[in-house]
Amino acid sequence: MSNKKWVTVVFLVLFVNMSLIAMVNYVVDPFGIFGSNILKNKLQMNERFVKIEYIEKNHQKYNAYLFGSSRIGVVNPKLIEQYVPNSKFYNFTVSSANLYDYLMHLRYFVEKNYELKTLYLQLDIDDMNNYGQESSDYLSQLHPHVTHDSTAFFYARYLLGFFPLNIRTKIEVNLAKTLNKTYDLKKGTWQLPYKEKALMQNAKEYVEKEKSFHLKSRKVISYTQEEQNNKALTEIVEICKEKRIKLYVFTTPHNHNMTDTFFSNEYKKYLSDISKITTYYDFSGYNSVTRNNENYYEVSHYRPHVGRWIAAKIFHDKSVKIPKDFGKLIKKGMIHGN
Amino acid sequence: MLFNSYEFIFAFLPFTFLLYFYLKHIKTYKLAKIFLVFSSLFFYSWWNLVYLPLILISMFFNYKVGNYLSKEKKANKRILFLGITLNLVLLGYFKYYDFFIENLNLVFGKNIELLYLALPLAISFFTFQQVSYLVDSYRGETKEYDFLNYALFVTFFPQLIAGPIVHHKEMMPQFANDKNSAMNGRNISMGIFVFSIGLFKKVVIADTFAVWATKGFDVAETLNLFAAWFTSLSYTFQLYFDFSGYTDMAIGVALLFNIKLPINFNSPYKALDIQDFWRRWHITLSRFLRDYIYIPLGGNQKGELFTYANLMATFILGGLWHGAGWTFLFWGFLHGFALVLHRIWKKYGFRLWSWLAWLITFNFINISWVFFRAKEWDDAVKVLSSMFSLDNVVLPQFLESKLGFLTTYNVEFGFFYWYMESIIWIPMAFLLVLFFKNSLQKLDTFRLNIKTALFTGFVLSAGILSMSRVSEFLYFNF
Repeated sequence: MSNKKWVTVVFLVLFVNMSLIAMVNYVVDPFGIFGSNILKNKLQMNERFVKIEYIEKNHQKYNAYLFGSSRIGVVNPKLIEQYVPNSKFYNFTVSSANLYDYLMHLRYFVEKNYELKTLYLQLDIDDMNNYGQESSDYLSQLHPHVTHDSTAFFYARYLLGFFPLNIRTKIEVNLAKTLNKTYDLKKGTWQLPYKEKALMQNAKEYVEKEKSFHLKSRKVISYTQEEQNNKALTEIVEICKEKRIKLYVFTTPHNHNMTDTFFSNEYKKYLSDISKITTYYDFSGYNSVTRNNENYYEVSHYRPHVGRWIAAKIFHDKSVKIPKDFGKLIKKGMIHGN
Repeated sequence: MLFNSYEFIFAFLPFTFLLYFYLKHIKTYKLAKIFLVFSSLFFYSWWNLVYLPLILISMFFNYKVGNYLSKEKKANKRILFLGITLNLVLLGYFKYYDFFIENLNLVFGKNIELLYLALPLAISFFTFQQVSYLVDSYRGETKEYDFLNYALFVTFFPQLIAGPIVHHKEMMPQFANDKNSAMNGRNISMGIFVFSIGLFKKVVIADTFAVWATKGFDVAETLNLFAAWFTSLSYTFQLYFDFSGYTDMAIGVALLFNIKLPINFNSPYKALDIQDFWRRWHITLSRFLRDYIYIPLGGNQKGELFTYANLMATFILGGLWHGAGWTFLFWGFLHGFALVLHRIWKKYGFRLWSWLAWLITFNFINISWVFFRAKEWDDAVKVLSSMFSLDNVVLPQFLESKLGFLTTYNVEFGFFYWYMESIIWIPMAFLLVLFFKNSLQKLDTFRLNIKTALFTGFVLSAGILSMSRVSEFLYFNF
């Protein structure tokens, strides 16, 4: 075989493989980047990208946002609207979000001059060892308009990447007859209708069957991202102050099993640090809501009624019966020392 | 610029390659070399333009001093000393200043501010290369080299960032040789072949292991017995596939330009003793340490005790070369100590079964990498203590029904969280490094046929398609 022929074969194989992968990535669109819409169910998607695309086209419909990880995703924005006059909320929940995402998205909204009067910000305690996203996590990459990176490069990465697991999941989700999870892009929320129904019918049985409630938790989460998190939260508070955005901050009511994974002193230090920066409602820790597994789908996500209780507590809605030990107002500077 | 980036593979490399050979084709040889030097400097500056003057000044200075030393019939030790000192001062300032001040503050209770300087890319590599040039000029072992060839020797982009640490004797004649002017079909095929293997090793294998190594070392607060072993083995394989992958890519790219770079890896994890390991791992660094530290210190010519002391000193310095930190220094100490023990072992003629010799050697290397990788002592202690503690054994949940009785022995059952996949990858990596030919052995027996073409095409495709998770090479940090 001549050198020329050998090199030609190599590049031919390369070209065929790359074209094939690019075609599959475009058609299946495992992260919802290309909007090819051939596989209709977009359950698995890069929410950060998809939501920015949506907001860029629809920002005039909203003037207030819910920021948080997937854990705030069950909260219907209409619920908050009833407490904030003249507000039109959008639930900007994005999976595995942390303070980096909130800051970047807030900066972007301000930079684009999108109307923003109220920000309802939920902070997860496990973010104390989390800041930013790994570049290998394709479900969590920020929109290039937000990072000011090259849009062409962003698309090239999604077109020429090899994502066998995501492609399989997307196809499986689209072949499935029943949907375990539904998504409403116009509200920004997600629901788990089957799990919710099962819990409504027999909560005890559901809890018994849900494995995550019965695993022995170990202390694994410590406060490693102190500097970055404090800096980001400070900037968020400053931006809100400067732009006259009404900011509501509160902590996630994590299931007691999840709280068991936090190193206690470091968790308290995190709460203390938040209080140095802003006033907030603390729903975390052990209380009658977080101790009751029936308030959760699994150890990570609470059910919609918990979201209602949070809002009722924050907005002093006496018409809603909230467990007495649920939520405490922590005024700025209230926690000192630990 | 990274070898495993779109801008390198689809823009920089094809453009540089084609224009270089076009300039040679139209007989503008000197212009072609100037172009290659400028391309290499562009490649270097892509990371940070600020440090471009540093490499330029270093290059001019060493060329002048080296030329002076080689021209002077009576060797001038003071000039050599001055030349080496200035090189080491430059390296020391950027690489070791903060480490020195931190320890000074700690010992004397001072509060001298740190500089937090970013380490200029490749400074450790080009400093070593040029120090060897100065020493050889002093010894009268260099010729009167042309500045352009010297500039290429220092900046030639395939080896500029992370080696191999090339020697002027093996590079300058190649740059000066006009027979290398035309495109060489065989070199191009071989270059693409070995580059593709290197890219695959880096982006498919090393970057996969990197995920588990990072989680175990940097993210996880505690590790159970299995998690700790999977973490350390993941790093052991990550480092090998990362660095040898980089070297393969460097060798491949250099071959496109008809330049042969020295071999840097020869299946190091097949080593049966620690001396054997250092003959196979980062060979060009071992060569430098031997020729410019160990032998000048007296090598093995001044009696047993001095030999041991020289070995220890050489490896402690080798450890420090990799990074300014006590963990690197300790890693160097461990390897120096192991070499001393091995020497004593050999002296008394002890022998071991091959499998046991391999097991001990590999485990020593694996354990010592824990210090090399750990950012802090605490991280090293976290991984090592969990590797050897039976108090913290967690087995996968699905085994609980069959092995539940083990709970009486403090064994727990739980999720195998993040390291689940490494259970499959680690045996595969063992198979690859122990029972297969390495990439350079494959290059030696390379044949132009449909089998190698298809293999290269698929390996290159897999590499490029996995490249979207861009990451740096580990040896960029050293």
